[in-house]
Amino acid sequence: MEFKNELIRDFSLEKERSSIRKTLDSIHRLFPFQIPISIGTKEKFSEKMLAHKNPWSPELVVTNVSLSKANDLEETIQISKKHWHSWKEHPQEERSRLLLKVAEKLISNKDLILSVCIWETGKHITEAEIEFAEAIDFCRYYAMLALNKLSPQKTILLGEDNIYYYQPKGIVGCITPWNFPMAIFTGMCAGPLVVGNIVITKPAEETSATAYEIAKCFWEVGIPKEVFHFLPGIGSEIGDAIVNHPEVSVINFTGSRDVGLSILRSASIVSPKQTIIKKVICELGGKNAMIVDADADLDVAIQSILPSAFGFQGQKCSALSRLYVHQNCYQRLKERLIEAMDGLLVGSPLDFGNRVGPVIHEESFLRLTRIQKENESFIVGKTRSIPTEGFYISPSLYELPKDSSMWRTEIFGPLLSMQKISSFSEGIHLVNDSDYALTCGVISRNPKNVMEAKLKIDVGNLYINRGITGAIVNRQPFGGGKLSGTGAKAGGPDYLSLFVEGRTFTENTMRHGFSRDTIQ
Amino acid sequence: MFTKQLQDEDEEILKIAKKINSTSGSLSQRFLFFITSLLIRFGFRYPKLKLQTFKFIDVLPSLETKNIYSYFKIYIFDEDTEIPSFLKSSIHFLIHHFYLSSLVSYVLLRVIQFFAKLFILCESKETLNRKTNQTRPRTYDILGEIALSPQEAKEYQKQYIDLIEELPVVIHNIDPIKRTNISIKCSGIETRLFPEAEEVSIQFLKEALRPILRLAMTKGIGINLDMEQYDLKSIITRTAKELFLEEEFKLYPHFGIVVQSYLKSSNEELVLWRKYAKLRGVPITIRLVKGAYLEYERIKSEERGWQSPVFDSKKETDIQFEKNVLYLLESFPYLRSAFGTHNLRSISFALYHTNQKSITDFEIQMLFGMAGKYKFSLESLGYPIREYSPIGSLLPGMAYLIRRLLENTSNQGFLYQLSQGKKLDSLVKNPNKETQYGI
Repeated sequence: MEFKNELIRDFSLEKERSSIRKTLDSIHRLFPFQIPISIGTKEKFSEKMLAHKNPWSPELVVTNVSLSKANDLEETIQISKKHWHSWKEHPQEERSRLLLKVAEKLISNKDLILSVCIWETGKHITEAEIEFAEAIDFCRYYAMLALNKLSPQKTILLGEDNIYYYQPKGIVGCITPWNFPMAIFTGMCAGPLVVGNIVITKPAEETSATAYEIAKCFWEVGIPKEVFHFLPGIGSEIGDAIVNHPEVSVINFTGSRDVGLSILRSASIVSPKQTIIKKVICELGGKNAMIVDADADLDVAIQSILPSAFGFQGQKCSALSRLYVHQNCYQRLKERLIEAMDGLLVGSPLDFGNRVGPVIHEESFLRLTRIQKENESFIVGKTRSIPTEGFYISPSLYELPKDSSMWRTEIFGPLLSMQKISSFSEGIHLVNDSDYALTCGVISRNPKNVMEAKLKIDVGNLYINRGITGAIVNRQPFGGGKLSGTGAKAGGPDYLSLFVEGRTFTENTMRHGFSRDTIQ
Repeated sequence: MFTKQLQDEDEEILKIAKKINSTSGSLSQRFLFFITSLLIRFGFRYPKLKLQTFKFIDVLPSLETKNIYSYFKIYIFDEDTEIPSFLKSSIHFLIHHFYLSSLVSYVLLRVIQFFAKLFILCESKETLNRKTNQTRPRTYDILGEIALSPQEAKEYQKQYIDLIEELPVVIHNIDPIKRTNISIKCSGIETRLFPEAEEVSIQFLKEALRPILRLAMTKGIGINLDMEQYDLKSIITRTAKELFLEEEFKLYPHFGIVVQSYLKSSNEELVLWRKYAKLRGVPITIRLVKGAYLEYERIKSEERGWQSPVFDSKKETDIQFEKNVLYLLESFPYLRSAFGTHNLRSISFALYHTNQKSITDFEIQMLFGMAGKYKFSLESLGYPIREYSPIGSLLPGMAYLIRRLLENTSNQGFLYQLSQGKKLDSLVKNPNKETQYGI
């Protein structure tokens, strides 16, 4: 099986634009989406629902989300246990084939899923398109990987058969984020499923409708509902319940550092009924930096900085927030960057010409507004023209004192800080002086410095002379170290091994001095 | 397959090519031709050195003069090139030992500037006048960094406007060939061009273009919209079509646009332009070129997994170019032809057919600093030549210099082939025929 990345549509073609336009502009008639809890073959709605509002027209409720409770989880676990064996014993070819069908199914619902995602998150059309392609890539890549890389390995001797093979780990709880509700949700569920695990997923409250549309595609092609359950709700309720349940083997989490670390703590406690050691896979935040060297091509630098820092309003764990610029080009870059930022078009993603949209919700909006206020005196430039309705935050640039907390804490918004450096090595030192180690960028034409960066910069994804977001499955497996996560590389060759356990059969085939092979 | 008529046609084209090639031009033209050929031969013999040299030229604008040698060392001496190691180390030893690095830096800068000057008309509009006294018609282009903000775009727009203001008013009844012309890079004067938001991009671009067109019209100067990467083709084309039909512009006959023959869609493009010009009732000049963004298009389409919009082989592009020439000439007088090429076969092909059809209202466009020898002989044969002449600072114009050097040193390039001692006969062969015999 060969892997090829899914194509993204060419939106310079009129027909591609008008095809998505129709769905995007008419979908609000279906609001609010009512999102059920799906336990096995049963679907139900909770009495109380949680409302998620549209980020650019906050008076509009896009989604009402059912709130799953601990007893719902208990029920899914009982059902899962009954059906796990048949799923686990399915031939790998069959499970991989199903995942390829999921990819096809997703593609046939593409415009709908994209539109739901855009209305839930305020994401730009092209970014949504790229994210969707990544979701497809995850399905196909993991389907291929499971077949090619996880087949049994045999070591046969004259009198002894050794077989090393992989077993799924059991019940995997997938707690997924809202910023990539298509790609990350799909990838986090598809990986464990394809190698034979049970998946209980809790999508982010903000993007439950997008997640539900995707989950339906899994079920519709024949992934049993009894092994893929959908439990929407609040993190502190159903999320905690999943983490603490004694029969959940793996917690697959992408989200904030605080939640991730608390999951790691909770998961390390072995409860009385528990017979497994829980495994936690965490993909947490980033405080990503870029070094602009003295000899940098400033055109390339600015074209890399803008989308990395302000794409999807900076709400990516890979987003750029610390910029270290060599003194030789500092002033020129700063001036050009400020002008370019002021020219960014901020507004609703329904208008495809806008580059920056609203942030996800009011809570985020208030938090970012507060940070902007507190650091107002350090602002050196910002986008002046932004809409007054909706959760819009103007992209802004800061020159901060060295001890400002903005250099250290993840902000998850379009706020960028810059600092002058007098040498490339100083830049490397500053980049590494962080709790996080996710992505980093280097804009330089000095091969020696580029080599030094490769050797010394401690991050999961280092990008040279380009932007630092938009990792592509198979080309740039994504994930980092330090407090950025437990080192899972999504879309890379090692990802699936996180959801399996190696087992060995060793059989003595010798009988009274002869064996299968000696007697022939 | 090939009829007698086509064979005769090829012979006639060869005759024209020989005639153009035989005129030797002035001493300086010959010297330039010699230098170019030398560079080309050198460049092709040592591909690794060529790559490193281009990378070095690319980084040059960002360097302080005193650092130039240290970068030269990194790019040329420290990397793997065809220069023998002992030579690299002994040159470096000498420079280092005698503290020559500042001097060498300065010399290197001057050498590169010398080459840049060969392809860049002048540094600013202020230094323009002396040179425009030359009789050759030009189309001016303004070089620089990429415009990344509305302010930068405004500055470019202003530079175009200042340039037009500086240029003398063109006498009303002058023929279009001799008329001064300006080539406009749309992404330079408007940054908000987004393929996914074509309609609004078109509105922005129109606003940026209107004052330029207006001023050019009052002075009688021609305007040509340059074509850039494929992503922007639809926006630029649609903008031109809508804008040229606006009340104040619809009667002006000196607007032009570019069609790139390396695009698989160039034939369709011409058909649409002809229909459009017929409807408008006033001719449009089409600059037919092969296309300057070949590598970019290939890299981008591979990255996206898209089918490339450009032809894979030079031969296919050459064949398409000839088809386009014929269609353009058939479309006279709705479409006015401007053939932008330095390829002798392509030029001769176009000339043969303009002769056949007795069309005299056309022009050949060549880049400033390129193929000087041919320009001279074509002019002495009475053919109209317009020079595409960039104006701008030498250092930021480096990207332009690299494109020219790449073109000159490409192993498929006409000049390269000629400098390798290939016979003219085989070089001006019908591109269709090459397919036929699998050459």
